[in-house]
Amino acid sequence: MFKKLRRVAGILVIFCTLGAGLNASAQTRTISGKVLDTGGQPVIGAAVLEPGTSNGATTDLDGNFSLRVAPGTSLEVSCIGYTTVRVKAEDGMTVTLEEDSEMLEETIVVGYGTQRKASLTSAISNIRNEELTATKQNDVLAALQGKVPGLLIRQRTGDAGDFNTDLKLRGYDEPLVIVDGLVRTAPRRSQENNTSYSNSSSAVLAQLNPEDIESISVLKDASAAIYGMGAENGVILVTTKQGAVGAPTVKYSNRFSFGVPTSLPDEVDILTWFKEANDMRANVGKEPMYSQEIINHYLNGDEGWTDNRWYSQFYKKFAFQQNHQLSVNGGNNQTQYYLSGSYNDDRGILNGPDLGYRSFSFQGNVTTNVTKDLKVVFQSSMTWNDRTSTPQNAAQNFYTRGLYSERYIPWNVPGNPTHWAYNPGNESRNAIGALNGANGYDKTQQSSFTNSLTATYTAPFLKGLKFQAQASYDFQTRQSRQLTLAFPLYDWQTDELLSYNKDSNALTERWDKRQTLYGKLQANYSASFGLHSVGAMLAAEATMGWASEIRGDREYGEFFTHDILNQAIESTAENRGTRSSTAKAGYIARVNYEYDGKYMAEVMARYDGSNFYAPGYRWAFFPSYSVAWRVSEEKFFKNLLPFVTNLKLRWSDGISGSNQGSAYGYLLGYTQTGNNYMFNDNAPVMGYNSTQVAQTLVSWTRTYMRDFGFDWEINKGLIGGSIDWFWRTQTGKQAQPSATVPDMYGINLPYLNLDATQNVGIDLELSHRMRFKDFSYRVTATATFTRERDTYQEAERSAIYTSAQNYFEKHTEGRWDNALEGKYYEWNGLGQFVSWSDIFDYPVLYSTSSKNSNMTAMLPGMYKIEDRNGDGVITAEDRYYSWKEGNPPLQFGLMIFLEWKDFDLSATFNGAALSHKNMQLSGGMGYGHSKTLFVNHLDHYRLAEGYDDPRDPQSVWVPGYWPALAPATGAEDATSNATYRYTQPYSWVDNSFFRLKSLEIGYNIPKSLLGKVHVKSARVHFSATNLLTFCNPIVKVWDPETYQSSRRGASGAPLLKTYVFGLSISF
Amino acid sequence: MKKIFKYTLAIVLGLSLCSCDKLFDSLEGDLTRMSEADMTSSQAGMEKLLSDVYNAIPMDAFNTKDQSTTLATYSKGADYNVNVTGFWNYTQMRSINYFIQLVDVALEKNAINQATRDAMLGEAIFARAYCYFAMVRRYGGVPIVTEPLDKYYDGDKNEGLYVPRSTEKETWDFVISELDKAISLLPESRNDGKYRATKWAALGLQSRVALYAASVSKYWDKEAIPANYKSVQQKLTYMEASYADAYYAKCIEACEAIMNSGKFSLYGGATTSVETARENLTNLFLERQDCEFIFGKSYKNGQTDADNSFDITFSPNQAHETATNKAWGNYSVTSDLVDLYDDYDAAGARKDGTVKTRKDGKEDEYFAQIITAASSFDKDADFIRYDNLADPFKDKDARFQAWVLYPGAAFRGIDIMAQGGIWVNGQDPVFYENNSYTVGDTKYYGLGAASEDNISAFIRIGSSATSNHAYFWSTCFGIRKFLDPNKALVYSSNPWCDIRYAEILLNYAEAVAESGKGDAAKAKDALNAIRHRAAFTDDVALTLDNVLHERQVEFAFEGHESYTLYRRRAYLNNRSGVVYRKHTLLPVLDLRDGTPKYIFPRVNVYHGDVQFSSTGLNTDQLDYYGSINDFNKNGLTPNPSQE
Repeated sequence: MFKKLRRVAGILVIFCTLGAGLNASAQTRTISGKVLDTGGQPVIGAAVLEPGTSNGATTDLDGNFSLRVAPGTSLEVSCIGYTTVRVKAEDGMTVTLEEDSEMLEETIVVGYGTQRKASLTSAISNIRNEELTATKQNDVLAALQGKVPGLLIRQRTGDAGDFNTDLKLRGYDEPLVIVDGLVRTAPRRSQENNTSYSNSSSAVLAQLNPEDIESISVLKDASAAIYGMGAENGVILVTTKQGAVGAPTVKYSNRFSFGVPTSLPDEVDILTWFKEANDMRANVGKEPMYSQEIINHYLNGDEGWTDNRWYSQFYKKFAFQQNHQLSVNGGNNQTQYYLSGSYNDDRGILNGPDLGYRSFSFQGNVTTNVTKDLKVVFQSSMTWNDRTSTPQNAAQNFYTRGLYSERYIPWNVPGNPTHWAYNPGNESRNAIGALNGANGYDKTQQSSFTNSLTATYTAPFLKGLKFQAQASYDFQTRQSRQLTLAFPLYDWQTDELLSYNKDSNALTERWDKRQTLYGKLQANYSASFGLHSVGAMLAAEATMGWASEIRGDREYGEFFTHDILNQAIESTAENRGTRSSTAKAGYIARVNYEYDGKYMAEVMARYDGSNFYAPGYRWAFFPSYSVAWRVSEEKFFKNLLPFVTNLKLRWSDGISGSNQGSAYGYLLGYTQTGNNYMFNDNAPVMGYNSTQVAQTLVSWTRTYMRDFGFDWEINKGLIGGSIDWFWRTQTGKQAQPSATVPDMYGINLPYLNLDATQNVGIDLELSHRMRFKDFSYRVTATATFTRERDTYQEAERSAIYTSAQNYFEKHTEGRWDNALEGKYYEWNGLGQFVSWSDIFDYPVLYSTSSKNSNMTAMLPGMYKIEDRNGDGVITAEDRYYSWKEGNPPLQFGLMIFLEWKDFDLSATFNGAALSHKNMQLSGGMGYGHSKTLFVNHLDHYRLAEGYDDPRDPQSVWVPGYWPALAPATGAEDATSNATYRYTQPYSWVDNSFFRLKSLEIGYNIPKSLLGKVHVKSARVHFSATNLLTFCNPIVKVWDPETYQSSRRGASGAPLLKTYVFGLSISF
Repeated sequence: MKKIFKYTLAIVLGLSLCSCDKLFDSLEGDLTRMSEADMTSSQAGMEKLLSDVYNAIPMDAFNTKDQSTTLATYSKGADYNVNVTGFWNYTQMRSINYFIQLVDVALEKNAINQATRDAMLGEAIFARAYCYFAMVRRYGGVPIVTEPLDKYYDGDKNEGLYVPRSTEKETWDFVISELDKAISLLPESRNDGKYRATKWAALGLQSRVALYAASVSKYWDKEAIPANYKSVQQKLTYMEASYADAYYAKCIEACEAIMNSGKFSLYGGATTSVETARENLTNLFLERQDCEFIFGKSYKNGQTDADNSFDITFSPNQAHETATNKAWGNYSVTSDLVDLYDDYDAAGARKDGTVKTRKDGKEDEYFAQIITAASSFDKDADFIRYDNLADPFKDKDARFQAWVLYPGAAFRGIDIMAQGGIWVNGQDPVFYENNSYTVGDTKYYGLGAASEDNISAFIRIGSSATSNHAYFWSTCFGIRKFLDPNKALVYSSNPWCDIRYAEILLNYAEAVAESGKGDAAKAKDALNAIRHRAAFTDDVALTLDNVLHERQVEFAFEGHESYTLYRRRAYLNNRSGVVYRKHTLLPVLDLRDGTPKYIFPRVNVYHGDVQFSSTGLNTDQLDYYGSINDFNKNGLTPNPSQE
């Protein structure tokens, strides 16, 4: 079979060569021409092709081309962003390309194929490289922020190499990311637990090199369903750059970025801190925290008594990051290539010498026409990255312990900087020592290789029929090594060894490996018959994945040797290892039909199998359809509203499947019980039993996606936009039936596909563009509002609610409340207490015991809590349900592009609304345990002059935003029994924000200057991110975009405001 | 056109269809759990499952339950209630039922041989019978499930899951007949595990079960449940005297099989030396003594040496391993048990062992809670004044000496200090206070020592009561059985002897005494063999009273007493008023004549008053049957107390 193919291929090659030769020797001659745009500027890189042949050329820097062709032959001239034209070949010809302002003719990548934008029947957004890279960003995720309606992106932290950015489409979970036809995931470190990783698609985007990307399509509705499992949250399709016919183009670009935290709260000076801390203690009737003796050292300016601002010391003056990228692109008619490499080095903002992230990546795409009909594409990429951070304990306790450190004690012994100082406040965790590596490190190296081979055979016997076979193999490894060290802590005055920090010397090393093998066979057909166009696609695909991990742990005791396992104590060795494999497969079919560019319809179906379920429940059928009507193409409409150049109505509806539960749950399995029985003395036998009934009745979870939208455009893009309403219902989520079964069954009920949730929302996009001679601009605004609820919860069938609070917490069905994580129950405030007597006179009790409980629960400046149920006592029952923290349901963006001669400017704004941030007073903020108070908290209730005793009912209080200082919730101040546990209205602050996410000004060095130095193009740019933020000043102190509300012991570096300078040159 | 599509379809589907379901089968499968096939393909795998089967057996290891009787109490407050631990665990029953199916699967695969299969099946049936025994004695008739019910779950009516309760008699009969099966399957001896069930274990359990069933039948009417209850009408909680004989006969048969086998004997055997007897009786519980050990559980864990915490639980405050473990040690033994232990007369024969505290012999007079002398204490009572704390106990049964800690007893290199008061001349006696008095040149303490570390009982009971009083005995006696005589431990490694030969002998004696069946002479020998081991030289007659007395003193702290009261429907018969009291001796340092002497007034245990009518205590015979778990959900007839 193969031999035969090769013979056929050989013959075909010979014919082609002969054909080309014949052509050349006939009446052809060299024709030169020029391609200009409507402004008279040369169009670079336009393709000039003799249709039906591989004969062609591309234009150079001046728009010139030359080609051997018979005069009079019809030539096709095309370039991305311009309307394609056909002209007769003629020497010295000038071709004028009109800018493709409508973009409707643009071909965009959709699932398992491409489509004209005008023919789309679904909610698919498309971003081309120019838009993506218009603002130079560290990663693709940041570059996408605010640009695609429905794509909700929120950066969690500013840690180097953390990739902790939330990516949600329309409020669903993470969408699937498909790069060049293949599903990709990358490990992402979990925010909560520094050492665990999950496979995430957002991390893929974060690690891609933006320069390599040709285009990104976002499939937001049932059109995503064609990708099967995982597509229920939408799909992001990334297409990387391919080589183009022409002489090699070398492109180099770089970027140097300087970042400072978007905002950092100021610490009060140490004398103010002493006073405030002592006042706080007085407010709750306790002795002062700082003696006059210590205070006097500062009042007298005694030598050696310094104000040690631990918090400020966590951060460098600025974070430096650099990025270099090099690519080569070119090829002849036979073979084209795109090769690139990049280097990225991010030292981060944390003030440690060895912390940071660096990565290398390489991408190679080679396309070759083996025969006239057979095209083979090979794509390969390799990335390697390396991240060093503080070890887990240090990271988790970083802010807390740092802030708990007494400020009059320096972090190291003066005059002996390698001796870290003992500090009674930080529980033997010297955070600055940890940042400097004294506490060990956490290093992770990852590398991944992806390889794919795609062969496309264009059937010579039927126009429009293509067969494609694709295979890919991905390989990822991660190696991480975590060393924790005990380090000595010295007396800051005498340099005497006092104690060790709390960690013991230990090493953990883990290696893991993931492999994915994918194969696909596909056939596409498209044809036009008069006004009818049809398309059809059939495919079958299968994916197998293998993952394994091993891990070893050892301890050193007191004597640390080397950071390799063999050098630690053998008897402490622990190891573990796991391995797993998965498989899925599917058959896909799609048919499109279009009549006269007016009516379009598409029907698609998948038949999917997963190894999760029992035979008989493995395979499921997921159909979907979509229809569209381009009203603007109707004659009556053109007559009626000729200035409306596009108006299209779309409707799509479909089902996608996703896995739930665990693989092989359908089999009865036996696991260790953890209990030994000893058949003989000293001979324990571990028991095994089966504690879970076989899940033989569960199958796929089904996601119904519906979308109604319309696209409109006036005057060829002067104003345009689109609106989409979307509904998504997930049914058949696994849950345990609430049906009762008798104890005699002896086991829990098997899971069934029972629960359901629903998301609804709206996406908006509005754009406008204009051009005045050499000045043009484009503005696009996007917004998304989305909500979610449980529409069916099996657990509620049998739930018995014990209290109003319990009902709020457990009853979720039908309530639009569990949207985007923000679910809280809080008391309502009825105005602030202005004095102690005010507190004492408040008729409602804070505990059933006594009136005095009010005194330990409240302070002047706290709110009177509403006794909602009127029983005279504040309990959990008096709380209201409210929708507070979490991902904001309303997010929006604004993009502006300006171009004037050789200058360009682009700005992207993004924002969010309808969410709150919890700014609850906490130990970490100077209330109670912490040894630092931030300047913004000075605006608090305080005693007016002349009164000494804060607990005297006659004392007069001066109001402020925050209440009088008090040890807050969870304060570990053992000497204070005050509760102060009521969350207060001041805790919840409106977290709406609008920020200038990025701004870039670029200058293209004119070609007249470049031609002499053999440079095709050169551009310099200055850009900035997070430059301006508009939000409530209270949340601004901590940045509205991060999750950390008040840095209550949480890890994570602040978001950065960066200033970037960069250059790109192509030769 | 048609042709094209046909070809396309054929190519795409043809190339891929062939492989897809095979694709799933080509995976490595479930690597997180073991499949049934994995478990059944080796003997080691079957043993892992068998380990779980054994762990299902509800042996009340080191759970004395005597605090639920008159014999012992916790310091914090005494229990006296119908408190036989329930066992309602169909989850473990499911595991056993699966295992019973799997032994034949393993046999078919030749993973185990026929002998192993029989033994394993016998062990599983034994374990399951043990579980049903634990249920029937608590609930009466229960649903008998002998196969995994997974297959009956249909997501609809699930009818197959609603197994109804069998009658009580059917359930008892089921347990006994299952044990017959186990007896025929289990080997007589085994070298594959000393703690695995043998034929003798099954016989031993059968003797216990049959005796239980016989007693419940015979004494059914004694504290009977009125006939108007549904479960009685349906005979779910119903037995009658006419059933008793057959059960006694079964008990006798099982006991005789063991006794006649010649494989077992009492550890140590008969002796006339109290010293030897005490040593034997101590060692009996420190190590497995093969001659007496019929079935039980090992706590000798190869990795950690031990995993049993009864040493911490029962060691007196003076003899704990670390200071933090002193928070235990509050389990107290009452004088009601102590009085039951006989004294030896000069010839080593039985003599009434009631502790002599008064010259007038009024040993049934107890003082109410005496916190101060102002209360009920009779200062004029004619107490015997002993020279030493231990003196009143010096002639007692070797079993008392080996198994009970008493005031003045030497233990782990210390003398147990359990003194409850002090009486200085010219003053009222003071109880439960550790005040000091100087008499002559010597300083004396109310509770016997200056530091709490050197005291085991009575601390902080009186006016200074705090929660810490729970660290100390509220009587002057504690448990010594099971404790290492030399050192305090965090974890004990003694085996739990669940069925020992002494029980077989006493089961036999009881069955013969009750029924008149069997060999009376042999039964009398059996009864006296127990006593001879404890250095008694005489023989007592085979009477029911003598048998029950021996059971109380022989099995102290082994968990038998509450079951004996329960099965004999004797739990409630001590109820003579609204309040029941547990008692202790209160050793008082008597300094009235200047020389230290001790008197031992009999008092009610400070926390020992139990009011039958108060909430939390079960009050009547309906509670002989426990509550059926979720009877509505389970579709079961409720028990009388639930109606």
